Parts: sequence; structure tokens; C-alpha cells
Amino acid sequence: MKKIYIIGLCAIAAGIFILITALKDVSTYVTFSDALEGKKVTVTGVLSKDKEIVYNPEIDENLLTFFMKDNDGTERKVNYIGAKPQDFEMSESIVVTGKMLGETFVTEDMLLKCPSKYKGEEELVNAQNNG
Amino acid sequence: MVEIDYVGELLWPKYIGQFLLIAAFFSTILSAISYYLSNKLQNNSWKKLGNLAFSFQGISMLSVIALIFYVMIQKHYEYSYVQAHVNDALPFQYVFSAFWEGQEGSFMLWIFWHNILAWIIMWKNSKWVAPVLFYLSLIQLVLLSMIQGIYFIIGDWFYKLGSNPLSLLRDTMDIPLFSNAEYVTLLEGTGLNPLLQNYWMTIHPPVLFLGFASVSIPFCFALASLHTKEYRSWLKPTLRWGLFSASILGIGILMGAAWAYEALTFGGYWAWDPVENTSLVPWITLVAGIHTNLIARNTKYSVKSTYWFYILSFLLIVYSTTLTRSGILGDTSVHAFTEMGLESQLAFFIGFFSILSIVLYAIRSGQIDAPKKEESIGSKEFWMFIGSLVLLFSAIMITASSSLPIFNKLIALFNPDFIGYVIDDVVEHYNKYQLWIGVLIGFLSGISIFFRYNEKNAKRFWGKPKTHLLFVTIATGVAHFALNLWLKLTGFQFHLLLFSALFTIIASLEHIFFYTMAKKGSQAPKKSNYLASVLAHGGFGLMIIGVIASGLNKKYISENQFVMDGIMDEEAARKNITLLKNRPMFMNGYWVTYSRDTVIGQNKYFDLDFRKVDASGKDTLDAFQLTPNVLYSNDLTKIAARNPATRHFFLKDIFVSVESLPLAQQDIKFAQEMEDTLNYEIVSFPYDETIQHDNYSISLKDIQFSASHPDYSPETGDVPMQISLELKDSVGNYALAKPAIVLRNTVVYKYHAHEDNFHSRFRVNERSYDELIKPDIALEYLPKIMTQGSEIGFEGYQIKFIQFNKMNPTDPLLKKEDIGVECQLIIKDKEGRQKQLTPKFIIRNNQIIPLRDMWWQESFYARLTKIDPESGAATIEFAKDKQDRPNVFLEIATNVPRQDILAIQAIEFPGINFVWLGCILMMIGLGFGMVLRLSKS
Repeated sequence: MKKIYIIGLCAIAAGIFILITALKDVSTYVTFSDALEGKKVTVTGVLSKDKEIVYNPEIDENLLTFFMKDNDGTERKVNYIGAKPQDFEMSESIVVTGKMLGETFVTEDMLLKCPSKYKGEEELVNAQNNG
Repeated sequence: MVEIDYVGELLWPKYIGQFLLIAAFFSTILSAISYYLSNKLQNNSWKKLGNLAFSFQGISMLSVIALIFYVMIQKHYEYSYVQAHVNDALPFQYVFSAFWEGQEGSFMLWIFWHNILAWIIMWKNSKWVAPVLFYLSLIQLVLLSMIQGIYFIIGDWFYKLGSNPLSLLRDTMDIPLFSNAEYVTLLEGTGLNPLLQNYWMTIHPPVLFLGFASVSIPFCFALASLHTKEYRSWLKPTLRWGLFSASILGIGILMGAAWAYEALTFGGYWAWDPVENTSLVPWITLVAGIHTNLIARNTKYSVKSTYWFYILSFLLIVYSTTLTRSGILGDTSVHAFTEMGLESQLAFFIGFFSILSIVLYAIRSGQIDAPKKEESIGSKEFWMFIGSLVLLFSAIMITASSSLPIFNKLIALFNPDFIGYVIDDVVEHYNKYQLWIGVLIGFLSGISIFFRYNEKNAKRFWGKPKTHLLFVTIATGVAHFALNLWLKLTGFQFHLLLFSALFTIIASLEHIFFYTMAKKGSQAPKKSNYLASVLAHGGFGLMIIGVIASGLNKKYISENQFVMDGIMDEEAARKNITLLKNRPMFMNGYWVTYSRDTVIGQNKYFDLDFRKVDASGKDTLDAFQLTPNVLYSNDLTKIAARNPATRHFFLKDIFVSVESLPLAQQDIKFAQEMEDTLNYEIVSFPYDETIQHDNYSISLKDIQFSASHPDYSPETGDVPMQISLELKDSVGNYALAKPAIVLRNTVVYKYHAHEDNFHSRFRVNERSYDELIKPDIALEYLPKIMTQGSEIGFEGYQIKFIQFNKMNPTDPLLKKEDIGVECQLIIKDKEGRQKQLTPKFIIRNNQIIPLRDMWWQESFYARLTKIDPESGAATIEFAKDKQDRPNVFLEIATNVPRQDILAIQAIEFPGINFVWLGCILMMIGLGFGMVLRLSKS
């Protein structure tokens, strides 16, 4: 047999092996009700703006507590381990990766989607109002 | 609709620009046709026409770029591109960054570099000009279509081709503002995203886009050689272009990493972000292509794979462009462009060139001859080829994982309920697999050194090279042992990675020493070629060592020891720590003090003093200051960016970033809200008493009829008053709070004093004016005539007139052409206390404005009303208010959040210099390889 075929077979075998193991790194976006205790998941949702947002760096600079509604409308308390990001209240949606601990979702990894990051609609609107 | 005659618009750049854009587009079509015909008819005049048309396009595009710079520098906000990327405050040096901040600008940068490279090819004037530039014209045509901004409307169907960088704001949107004929004067620019206001952003994009553009050249050569059926002669010029391209693209990516490390706060140089990944992948396949190209040049093998690697590199560049610019990465990447409606054009870009390459290759592949016999296992080409396959494997893995958002979008097209997959721990996912790529590349690049090209006899290896291999392996083992003492590796896979990295470094060094230095005879391989390869491979090894050191041994200095239970996993690191101003905090061997903050322009800088102490904690080993900053948005209302600060040592870096500030300093709206919701209580007490309030004492120390406060800028006619309050508490805190109040016309402005240690804010209540300063009407003045040096008595006070002074013309009280005089008086009371008063007298428009002075503790007033210029006698009026102990009225808010706190993150990166050094050596190696091959031709 040609060496190139042996190498090819090895590569395919390695590829399949990697694909199977890599699938473990991947998860779907879930809702809070699907998130089992202690399992790492990613949840998307929106900030509950009517509930309290607590960040008190004098006491703990690594803790931001807020409430978040997932896509099904289920609301959970979220503890974010880290400093409060800029424009947190302005976020359109939040993606958190972490685990449920009791009734609280604990996350270290949070991504915010904020409106019009690069665009200058606001300035334009200001100009419009002045005019 | 009524046509409006707009005022103040500069229209000629728009018209000229539009003309040039269309002219460039059509002349590129002409050049493509001419090159095609020149190639088909083997005709030189068609080639000349092609060159002419292509150059005309180049000059047109240069002019368009110049026009855009002109309107940007002149700040013509009626142009949408100018409005979106520039504002009045933008410093000149960032105009370049602003130019390539947008999609249109970066496309033009790409087009610009294609032109430069095309001119180099024309100038070299080889037989490849027409076929290569034919394919480059096709690429250029697609790029030019991205910036046309032409609408096609057929019935209800409409299509917008590209986006014109010179379109007017009023052409791109329809808002009521444009019913105002003078709208131009009302426009403001948005300005450059503050994150991009960094010098790296001035140089990183042009280098990266030169890298992107240069990947087109090996691709065009590959297609041109298939087109012209020249299956061997293309290998030589293409290798040079491949080396050039890999070197420049690598430097471009490296600059991006340096920018991320220096300007972003995630604490690292590589985050495996899809945008980073998809620019790295073409580089990886390009490097694989260079290796198969080398094989093909030296043997007859790997010609076909060389085609594929070069084609793939270009297609991956286009794929990267598509991902970055289509808005599809919105969820997963922090630095994608905003969506611009170019999706269909981008899909065409990648689809067209994929199909073109596949079809052309399929037609010709039968004619490319390849040796029947396989590479021998004892030959260099065999091991190099395996290495290229490993690189391809790496490219596939990275691309597959980065493409998850595309996969999700595609599935969602068919199944709208599909919620999509995500990788939970992105960095770990990539590191885990790419580590093995690193191990394999390290060993392969080391081992291939011991083999020769075209070696048929596998047994030769067990002769002389065996001893060299043995020597290298032992030397690697020793170096590994030594480095492990520093690195403290935590797993066998890291040991393997370190060993392979050291192996390639030592094998390269050993080889260049024994083979090329020792053997100076005719048989010796070309020394300089080896030098290029040694630099590149050694650089790779060094980079891996740096990656291991900085990644595995990265240490948070700012570790919080007081972890709270129950809210987090035990493994979750506590990475931030809060500092109070002027209170040193101990963390992992360092005393850190937040000593000062300074505002300069849009930036606020925080001085952090680091003092490294030895284990006993007594001796200072090192002391330095780091100054991270935050950058406020262009309208100064919010924080737009946080810039870390880094202290570089030879073996490590210390990296500090501001993680959080008090909310009132983050957002001006919040600061106003906070001030509005604070509960100020009015407190009054006789001026000479000390009172207790909350848990501290307050006493009045001084009153001044001027004010200095960071928020106050004096204006003429102001009546300012600033009081000094001494604050003391039982635990020894002491402060002198200086709130101020200013009466301007009929409005009262209050400037609070904030005292963090007392958790309080102080304001002067306006009633203090009435109490402490009686209005003149309420006083009974008694005029006295005095000359310089004279002395009189008044209500038991001794008054001495010292002298007249002319007021300094720069005094803020004086307007232009005012004349001001002041007289110095010394007042003594019965107990012998004395006070100097200087009532003033201003002549403005022939009117006399007396400005009184007072001894507030005594309620004693003096004003100068008249000066007799001949005798020098002054009329000075005095008044003594009978109410003895005036009250001070304060407004005090307690339980105010501290404003002197700062949450920081401090990280130690050991060995990070090896990452940079290794990468730079790699790129120098690639570039050097190109230069050597240039000088030989």
C-alpha cells in the first residue's frame, strides 16, 4: 500500500477522534429550566430592568448580581464573577456561560450585545433636534 | 417633492469621486480583456493596453483615496463616511485610522496594495505579467464592485452594488434634518471609536492588508500557470511571492496581537476570536504552501499540493473577509465590522473564485506530471510534506470551530427553531488541540533537517546523521530539564510541547554549526538558505516556549484572598482587587498603592505604585509605577475604553488594567442622578463653634471670597465664596473640606466637597451669603478720608492705611480697558488681633464699581468709594454689623458612596518576550528567504 494512503487513513482516524472529543466542548444555548445543577451551559436572554442590579466594589469588586430573563421568559438571579461591564444597563441581550448553583446561575463569562456600537445615530438625532 | 438648494455643501469631490470609481471599474474590465487576449494571441500590444488600463485604474483609485482624505481632513460632515468616522476633536494622526475604520476604507486599502503589487509585477516584466494580472484584474474587479454604491432598480426588484465612500449623508438616509437647507452647519461627526485611537491601529491595518493583498499573488500565479500550462516554471517566482506574503501577513497578525495585548484589557495577545483565527488560518496554509513549493522546486513531488495550498490560502482570506464583514460574527466576536448589506457580494466573491479555481484545476490536472514513485521515507521531502499536512489539519480544525456561527445560521435557514451551538470554553478548546499541532511541527521541523532532498536510500539516515540526532536529543533533554526548573510544567503534554520546541531550536543550531560552518567545500548546501530556515524554525520554537511560559505560568498578582463562599465554584479565580486611594494593599509579594489620578483630555490616568518586597516583607526589591487609564467617549459622558499599562522586564511583563471605577466616574448621567438623589440635610451653627454631625466633628476654619474647585471656571461678575471646614472623627481621620458657592447674575451654583473617609458630601447653603456677608443696603457705612500712612479709630478698631496698589490687569475681576485700584488696610481690634483688608475700586466705562472687603469673624466691612487724584486722599467707608456671631449654613449628605476606589487586575506574564521575539524571528526568516531568492535571480 502506498504511504500516502496510510497517512491519509491516519489523518482521517485522527480527524474522527478529534471530532468526537471536540463535540464535548460544544453545547447549545439553553434556557434556565434546562440548565441542570452543576452542568456548564450557555444561556441567552435579557436583563430584567425592573429588578435590582447590585454591584458594590467596596464590598466585592468581583461580584455583580442581577436578574435575567431567558428566551422562555424564565427569570433567574445571576451572579457574575467579575467587574461590572460598561453600559451593562443598556445591553440588548446577554449571553452567559456558567452553572446553576441552587436557584442562582453563576457565571464567569458574559457577553453583552449593545445597540449601535460603532454607529452614530445618536449624534445625528441630536443634530436633528437642534435643527 | 420640492428641490432644496442646500447651502455649504462641498460637492465636487463627490462628482469627481463617483466618476473615478466608475472609470476604475470599467478600466479594470478593459485590462482583464486585454490581458486575456494578450495571453491568447501572444500579443505584446494587448499586454501594453492591459498595463495601461490597469494603471489607469490604479491612479483613479489613488485619487479617490486622496479625495476621501481631503474631505476627512477638512471635516466635511455632509459626507456620510466623514460623519461616521471623524469628529472635530480627532487629532490629525488618527485620520488614517479613521480612514480604514470603515468597510469602504479597508476595501480601498486592499485595492491600493493590489495596485502597488501589480506595478511591481509590471516593472519586473516577466512572461507572467499578462496571465497573472488577468486574474488579479478579476479580483480587483470584485473589490471595486464593493465600493461602487450603484442602485439597480427593475420594477419592484432592487439591488445595491457596494457602498460608495463618497456618498452624501442625505443620499444615504432620509430624515427631516435634510429639509433644512443649511443642515451642513448642524452636523457633528461621530468620531473614531476610542478603542481604535491607538498608534497600533495606524500601522496594523495597512500591514495586514498588504498581507491580504499579497496572498492574491501566489494565487494568481497558480491560476496563471494552469491557464498557460506552465506547470513548473511558475514555482520559482511564486516561492518568492509566497515567502514575502507569509512574512508580511505574519507581521500584520502579530501587530494585531500586540495591539490586543497593549490596548485591550482581556490580558493576553491571542483570544482565539473568530476574526483572529480566520486571519491566522490563511497564514498557516500559506506556510504549508511554501513548504510544498520548496519540495516542488527541489524534487518533482508536491506540485499539485502547492497549487492547492496557494489557492486555499486566497480563498481563506476571502472567507475571513466574508466572516468579518457580514455581521454574522456579531454574537461571537468583539471586533467584527457592522453589517453593510454586502453579504450577497461577499458570497459571490468566495463562490466565484472557488468555482473558477476548481474548474481550471479539473481541466488541467491530468497534464500536471507527478513522479510515479513515492517519496522515500528517508528523504527531506517526505517529512516536509507530512509537516504541510499537519499544518493543513490545524487550518481545518481552526476553521471548523470558528465557523460554528455560519453553521448555526445555515441550519436556522431550514429549521427556524434551531437554537445553535456554541463552544463553552473557547480558549481551552483551541489550546487543547493546537498544542498537538505544535508538538508535531516542532518534531517534524527538527527531524527534517537531518534528511536530504531526493534521498532514495533510507538507510543513509542510520549513518552519520544518527550521531547528530543523538547529540541533539541529549542536548534537548538537558535544556528541557533546565527550563523546567523555571517553567514548572503541569502535564505531560506540556513537557512534550516544550521538548519539541527545544528540539527544533537545537537541531537548527546544531545543523548550521556542524554542516554549514564546518564544511566550506563545494559540497556544502547553500549556507544562507539554511540561515533563513533556521531563523524561521528556531523562531517558531522560541515562540512556543514563550507561549508555554506566559500561558501556563500566567499569575494574577491581584488575587483576592478573601473569597466569599457559596456564590462561586472553588476553581473560579478571583482576579480583581479593589484599592482605596493612598492605602497600600498587599498582593502576592507586592505592595500596591493607588496614589493619584489625573485627567488629561479624554483620558483619566491612575498612578499605581508597585513595591516588590522580599519574603520577610522588609526589604524592597523593586519599585515602579504603572499608569493605566480609562478613555472617555467623544462626548465625555461615558467610559469608552480602558487602556492597560505594562511594565516590561526581560523575563516577564507586569500588566495592569482598570477593571472598575465608582459608578459616578463611569457615567456622567449616573453622577448627576446620584447628586440629585442624595439627601442633603441643612446644618447651621455659629461660626466659632465646633459641632458634632454623624460621627465626626465640623468646625469652620476660613472663608474666602474666591473659589477654586475643579468644576468651577470663574467669570466676571461672579460672587464666589469658599469655606474651609475642618473634619475630625474618633478614629483619627482628618480632612479639610472646601465646598464653594457662586452667585452668577441671579443663579446660585453650588460646588460640593466630597470626603471619602467621612462618607459625606458638603455644600454651602445660600443662606450663608446673608448671614456671613450682609448686603451693603443692610449696613450703615461711615465714610472716612484717609491718605497713605494715616491711621484712624472706628468703633474700637485701629485702622491703618498702608498704601494704594494698581490692580494687576490680568486679574480675573477686570475686563478689558478697566482700571482697578486697591488699598491695603490693616485693622486691629481691642484684643490686638489684626487682619489685612484690601477693598477694591474698578473704573469701567467712567463708572465706579467699589468692591468691598470684610473681616468676617468680626462682621467688619470696608469699601473704597472715592480717590482724589490730586491730593491722593481716599474716601473709605467702614461698617460694623451689630449681630455678633453669624451662623454658617451647610448642606451635608451622609452615607455617600466612596469615590476613591479603583478595582484593578494585575497579571504577571513570564516569558512573554519570547513570544514576540520568536514570532519576529519567524517573520524575519521568511522575509530573509525571499530576499535571498531575489538576489539570486
